[in-house]
Amino acid sequence: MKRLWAFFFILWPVVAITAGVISPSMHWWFPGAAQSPIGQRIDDLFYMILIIVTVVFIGTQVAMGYVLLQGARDTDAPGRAMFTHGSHALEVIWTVVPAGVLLFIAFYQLDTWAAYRVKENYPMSSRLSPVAEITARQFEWRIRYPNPKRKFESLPEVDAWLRQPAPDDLYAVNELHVPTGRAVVVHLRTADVQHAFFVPILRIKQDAVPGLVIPIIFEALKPDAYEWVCAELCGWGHYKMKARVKAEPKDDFESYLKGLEREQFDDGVSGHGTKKAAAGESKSEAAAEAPK
Amino acid sequence: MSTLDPALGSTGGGHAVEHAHGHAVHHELSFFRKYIFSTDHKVIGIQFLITTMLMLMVGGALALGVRWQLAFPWSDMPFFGRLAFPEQGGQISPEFYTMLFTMHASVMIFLVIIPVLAGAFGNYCIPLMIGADDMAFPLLNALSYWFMWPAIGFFMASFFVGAGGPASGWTVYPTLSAIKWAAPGSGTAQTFWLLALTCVGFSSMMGSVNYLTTIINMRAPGMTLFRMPLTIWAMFITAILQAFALPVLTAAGFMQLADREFGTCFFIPSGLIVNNHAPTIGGGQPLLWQHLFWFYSHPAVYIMLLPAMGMVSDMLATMCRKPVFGYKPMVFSIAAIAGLGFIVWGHHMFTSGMNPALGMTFMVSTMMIALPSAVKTFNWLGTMWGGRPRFNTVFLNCCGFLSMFVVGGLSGIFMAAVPVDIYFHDTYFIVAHFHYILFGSTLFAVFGGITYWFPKMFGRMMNESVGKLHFFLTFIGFNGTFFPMHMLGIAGMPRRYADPYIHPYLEHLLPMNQFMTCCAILMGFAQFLLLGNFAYSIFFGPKCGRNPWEANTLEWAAPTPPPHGNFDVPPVVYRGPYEYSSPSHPESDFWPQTEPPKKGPQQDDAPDISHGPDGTGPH
Amino acid sequence: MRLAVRSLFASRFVAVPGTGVGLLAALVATLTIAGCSQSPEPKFVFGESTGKLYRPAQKAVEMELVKDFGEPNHIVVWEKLPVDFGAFDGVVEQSAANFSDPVKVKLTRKANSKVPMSADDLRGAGIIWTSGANADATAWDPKGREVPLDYEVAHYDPKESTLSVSVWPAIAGEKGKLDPPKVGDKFTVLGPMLQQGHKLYMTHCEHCHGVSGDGKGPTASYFDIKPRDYRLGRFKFTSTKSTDRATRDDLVRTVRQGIPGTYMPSFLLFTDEEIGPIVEYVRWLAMRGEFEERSGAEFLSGQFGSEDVSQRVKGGETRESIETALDNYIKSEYPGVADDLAGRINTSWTASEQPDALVTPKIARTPDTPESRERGRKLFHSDTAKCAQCHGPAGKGDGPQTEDYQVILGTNKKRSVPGLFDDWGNPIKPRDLTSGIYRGGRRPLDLYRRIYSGIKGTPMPPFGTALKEEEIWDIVNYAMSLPYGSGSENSELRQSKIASASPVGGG
Repeated sequence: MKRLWAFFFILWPVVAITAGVISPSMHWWFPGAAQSPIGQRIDDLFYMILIIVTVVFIGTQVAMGYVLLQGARDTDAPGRAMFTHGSHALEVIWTVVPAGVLLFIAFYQLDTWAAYRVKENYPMSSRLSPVAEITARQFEWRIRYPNPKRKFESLPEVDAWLRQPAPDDLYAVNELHVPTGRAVVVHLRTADVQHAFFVPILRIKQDAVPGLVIPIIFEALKPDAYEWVCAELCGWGHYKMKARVKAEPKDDFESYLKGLEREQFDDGVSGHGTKKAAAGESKSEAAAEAPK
Repeated sequence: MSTLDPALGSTGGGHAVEHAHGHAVHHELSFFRKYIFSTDHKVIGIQFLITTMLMLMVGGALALGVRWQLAFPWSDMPFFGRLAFPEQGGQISPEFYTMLFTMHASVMIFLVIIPVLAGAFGNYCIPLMIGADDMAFPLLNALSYWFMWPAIGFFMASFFVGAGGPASGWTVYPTLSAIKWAAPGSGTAQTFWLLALTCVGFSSMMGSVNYLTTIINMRAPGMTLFRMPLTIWAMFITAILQAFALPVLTAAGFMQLADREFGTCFFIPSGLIVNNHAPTIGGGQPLLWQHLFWFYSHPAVYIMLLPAMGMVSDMLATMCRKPVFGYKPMVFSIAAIAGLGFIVWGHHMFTSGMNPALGMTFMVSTMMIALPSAVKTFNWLGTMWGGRPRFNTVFLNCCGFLSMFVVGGLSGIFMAAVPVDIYFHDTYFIVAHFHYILFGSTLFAVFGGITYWFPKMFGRMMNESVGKLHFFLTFIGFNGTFFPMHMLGIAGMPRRYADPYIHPYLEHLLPMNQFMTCCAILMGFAQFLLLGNFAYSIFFGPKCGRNPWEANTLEWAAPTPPPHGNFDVPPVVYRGPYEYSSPSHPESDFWPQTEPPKKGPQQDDAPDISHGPDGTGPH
Repeated sequence: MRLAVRSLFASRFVAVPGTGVGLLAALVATLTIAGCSQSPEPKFVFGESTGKLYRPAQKAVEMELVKDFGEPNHIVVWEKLPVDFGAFDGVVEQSAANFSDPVKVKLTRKANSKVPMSADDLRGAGIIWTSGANADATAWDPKGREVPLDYEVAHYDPKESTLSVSVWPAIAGEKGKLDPPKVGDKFTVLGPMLQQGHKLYMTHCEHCHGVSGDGKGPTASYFDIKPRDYRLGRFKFTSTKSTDRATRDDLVRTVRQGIPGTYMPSFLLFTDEEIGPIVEYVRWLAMRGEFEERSGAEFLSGQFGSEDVSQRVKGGETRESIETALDNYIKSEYPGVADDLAGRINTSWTASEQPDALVTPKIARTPDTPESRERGRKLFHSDTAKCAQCHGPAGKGDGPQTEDYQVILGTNKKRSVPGLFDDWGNPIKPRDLTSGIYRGGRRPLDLYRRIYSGIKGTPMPPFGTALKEEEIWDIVNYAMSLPYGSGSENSELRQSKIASASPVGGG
């Protein structure tokens, strides 16, 4: 009976590890390879920690299993339990070694963190060409692009644009377009409560805090549509904030913005530059807004 | 002077004689004063235990509601759906879901885990294990228990004040919580929540003051600090944590209450337009709340862990018939965890937009806090190594603790790594981690502790087979529910989502969530075994003597169950608590702390009696 | 080992009471949780106006609604309504031995319909046999009355292309006879569009808009701005003339773009397969509400409201005579009235989809110059347009009308509370034009439409006939400059920068 219990405690880690091993093939794993440089670094760090942690897990569970099996065997054995209050040498070893490993893990990652979050590390060209200001609100993402004709000459100009919407700004909702091939800066704010900008495939997340405007830098490596969700409880519609980041080559991005401008200043007569102005107008408008 | 007069308590001079004679002088107390409004730490401890066990079922029911929605979204939810949403065919609303997980966490943290460790086990065990006759402040102790009831009242009332209950998460981040119209649950319900929190805070604070004073002042003669059992060390250090961290939460709670009720703006910046109200006037910062809240709540998670660790050390030593491996390193590790616990709170806020330099410092300190936990884990393994374990319910629960703690601790390393936390923050990976610690570790230790100290509390043993069955089912149900959450987190499933499956990248996770819900239901119903065992055994369990486990610590020297005043023979301590299987004691494999040394040459374990200046001695 | 087993058994024997107590508690808990009743179903509620009718009249309206529209989980296809029920044409390819056997069929979607076609989608959809023995089949209910049959899809297997048919109400008695389908029998499958729409609606919309589309879902009570109550058949932000309904495209636009400044979020990422059924379902709910409202109005005009009846009884009529008259009305006239109402609903909703219902400017937007804005500003304050009366002198939505006691529509009584109210009885504030939030869309075309047709259901009147097109464009230019002009938070921006902002085609 006791051995059964010992095997019980050995069996469950085996089941756990098996579950872990089959997870990627069952798609209980990352929703795809990371599609941004920071995402790739995060994945590398994750796997490094995973290896260390798995080794420790197996080691500890094996030790526990061994100890339990030994206990199950010895519980009715003659003689007494080993009488020891500890071992100084062991204490030193298992203090110093884990400390070293942990500190290594900690210091190894500081660079990645600095690249992502310290805005002085962002390339100046990216800071001077912010792609959009994203305002999270209950329960959608409102996006404001600077007009493609606008060129920012200095960081204070960018700040001024962030403070004051301009009449030629372009607006969209729930779908953020970004150009590929360069590091992109977006500015995150919120109109009401806390939200968080989370794009799983790019591995980026940033809370939107009321009263703050927070820059986020990332680069989308591949043109594609990436799912974008909210990751900070913002009320009953927290799960509903379904949106999309659409990364596309620079030219497509610019023509998207131009299309947005035409739509936004559409007066029903000369809009879209096509003859669909009158009867079919609303249908083509709906088609232009429909997801591709 | 009667020692039972609550107005006098047990401090003040001149009571040594009465104390030494236990119940030599007493008048008969009414049933009310004996079992309901008692100031006896044992009764209070049992009151805490029963209350928290009931609250465990309430919190568990709320969790099952959460799990049901994740397994069968928008379907007819048993009990909650029928009760609150009959017109919608039992389909709950999204804000109801936010209330479910908010109240599940709030009830579990504030009404179950913290009170069961400090209130139930702390109260029951501390005086007995240090050889005192009661707590330093018995009346304060009773108040600490009775303050739980207004807290319970406020929490329960918050369900009924219109919106279904507080709904901004147990972390109640402003501005969702601070602005009354930001969410349905942020109306009166949130105010009640804050009031409940204040009451729980009073209760904890009273307890912490009591425990610190008792442990420092009232140890039996010979009980030096390093002869205290690890349970007491853990309770002592936990009480220090409570004392230093709790005032910050209470202050923050008052600030939020003021923001909501009195128009202040500690946490509310200007210019926000919520639910089409006029823009906020503002001037405050939501991040301030996060700092204040987590400054308490991070030590709180250690408050919810350290006593369990201490208890497990004692139970393992007893069941394996071996001293604790590395007693002093264990003590220092507890202290290190507590101390480091005060400088890691920012790891809950890595993505919050705080200064990135803080991210770096908090990462290092958070990584370091894994170290004492690792040391303790190795020491527990060392305790079991080479032992003669008794594979009973207590031991199995301790092994469960150890096994689960390894998982919980290791998953913490991912989140301590800031860049990796960018991805994992607010996903199910976090949920997996803390459930492995709070349930997988702490609660299994509590189950073990209940079984272990039940004989002392009631003079009877709990049923072994039912206990093992309960452990088995709970363990399987627990792992089936929470291990897959690691995978869900890696898959990017965010927390607090009423319906993750409207997102294409999460659609395929439904079957796994259904599996987890089935395991959760199994686990939930398995707890009835514990309740049944507990209730039945109080009246019909097999009777036992003073020391059914053949343990060393002082509580087993007292009569079973201990009378008011605890000890019939005043305890004097001659050695440490873990002298099991000592070669110097061939008569038996345990050597109680109070057993006088054999006649012979002066030995190291002569009593170490320290007297106070007035000669009254420690109480 | 044997000893161990014995002691295990022994302790288990003792364990029984402890386990028993626990299991008993678990059983009690399960019963509490599961309840003793069947799973509840969502049900449509009836409007307040129906509640005002005298009891038999109320019942007649309710029964008619159930007959013509059904319940949420049991939708009735009423072909008189201008709703795309998502029909399929079907033909039987292999005869079946018994009625209840799965029968091999071929299903084809009607042109352009985007109706989904999975097993789940078709379950419960109605079937109308257009040829074969089942085409005119009737049956006899237990009371011996002849009743028409409602056929439904019990199960559909897309891979095998087989269909199982069930019938409702279930047949009982010897006179009922069901012929199994034979090769060549033709039928139409109805309604998977609304079934799918209902499912999506319950997941995404119900908790605000309510099961019946009354805007009273569980979450709605916490909103300052209430969710739309569809039952008046009115939607605020449309592209059609002031007397027309919203088009499907308008509803699609609202769902996809959301309504900024309110709790109606943007569901941009709905696919066409999702949004088509939802919009169809919403239209259907709106029509149900309209039908109910107008039915009630018919009864009220015949003095059959409960207050009217009390008055009449006081005035000397007997209750029996009123009830007889009512009974006659219900039996002989009301069916025709119901038909007529359906026809009128059909006409108005269908007309709104026609090109001539669309509001399209005939001239392009006047260039956005300071002169145009000045003209717009003058019109804003003029007596023709009177914009400032509600929107305030600076466009902040604080005009004098917001402090006046308005007259309740359809009566000559004044409200007891100052301010403006919408058709749904909720207080409403005029738009603060300096905020830059445009609920119905921010294109110049959208603002043009708001001015031209007004905003249906609100005190914003249509100005299509009162103002010339150039005048409307001037007002649009003025309004669009307000978020950037002096008096708004954006006042730092200089006028010249505003003038250089490029409208369509501009430099």
